[in-house]
Amino acid sequence: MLKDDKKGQLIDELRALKRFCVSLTGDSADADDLLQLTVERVLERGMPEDAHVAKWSYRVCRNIWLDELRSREVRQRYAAAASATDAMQSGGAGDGFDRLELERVDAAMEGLPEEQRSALLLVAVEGRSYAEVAEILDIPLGTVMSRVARARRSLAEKLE
Amino acid sequence: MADIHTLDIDGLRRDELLSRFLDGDLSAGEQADLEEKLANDADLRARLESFKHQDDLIKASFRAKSIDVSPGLFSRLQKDGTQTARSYWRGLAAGIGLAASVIVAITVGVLGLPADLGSENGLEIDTSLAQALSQTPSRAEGWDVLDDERDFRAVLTFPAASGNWCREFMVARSENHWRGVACRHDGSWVTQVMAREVFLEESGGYRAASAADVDQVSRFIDAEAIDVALSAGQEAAIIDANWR
Repeated sequence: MLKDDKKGQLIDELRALKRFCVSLTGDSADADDLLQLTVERVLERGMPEDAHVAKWSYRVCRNIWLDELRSREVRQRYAAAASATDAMQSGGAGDGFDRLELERVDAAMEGLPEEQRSALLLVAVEGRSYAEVAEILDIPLGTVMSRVARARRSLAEKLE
Repeated sequence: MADIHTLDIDGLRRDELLSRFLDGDLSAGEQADLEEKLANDADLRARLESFKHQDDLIKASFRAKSIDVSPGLFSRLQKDGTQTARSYWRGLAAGIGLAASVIVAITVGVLGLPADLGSENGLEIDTSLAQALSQTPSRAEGWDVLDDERDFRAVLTFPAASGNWCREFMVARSENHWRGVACRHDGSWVTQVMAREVFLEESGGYRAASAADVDQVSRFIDAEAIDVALSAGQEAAIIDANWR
């Protein structure tokens, strides 16, 4: 059973967690399902008393998605239906960037290995520190540094 | 074109330094050194600017997407209840054609390391790992270092349907990460399931499934746990009692 204070913290984290789901799945409907499953899993199993709610939830979310990826082999499905992500665009570019440019970065992000994409999203979009990302993804700090750098490097190559 | 990920080591080091600079991860000394180099190297400055621009694009891309959270989910959290969670997950598992009971039967039947996870990968329940399982409290963050420099973390402890205590744990060595569950059996720790945690190859391809996959760990716990994970205090008491 999740305690009330942790439930409150999880509520505060839901939008950021949804972004993480979108980053992992590349599909709005799957992101909704993944978020739902993550919340259900956290409610069902609870978490250690000393656990940081956001970090724990990200970790649960990622593990569920990896389970799902393997089970459904969605990676191949999405490769064949990459255009489906267009439905996620809310219409119009953001922050003065060209829509085409945003689509290119979207496609480049989707082309990254999942472990690099997750690390970069958490650092560049969510503003998490490397130490926090290491905890969320359950990897050593040095691996975070390497994955974030490799992600930026790959994106630079793709966007040249 | 050469594979930059394997051949351009200097470039990778440079990019890692720039990345850490962007993310505020450098020490004061490292930052001062890099700032000096940036002042004298136009190519390095251009590389940094391209990384910054990419980051801005990524942020803008996510802001342009609809990131709505279902109001029902907020309500779900504000209320209490775990009554639907298990059936929801089971329904999904059934829907994707993976009967959890079959997987668990295969996995539990091993009662030891899966055949493809021999001692060469460092995951055998050797003395140091058994000692760590017996004595290390579960934690949500950080790693303990075993004698042979493997990183170890006890994740949680739960009672299994068999009546034994089980622990989910993580072991990491370099880029290799494993997750597993071990349970007490006749006074010793016995691996029930073990799985590699990294699935995707550098190229973005999909690594073939092995005999023991990480989804089996989750499903093993789903199937075997008869209660939620122990609290820190409960777990400390069990450790003090030497798992009796």
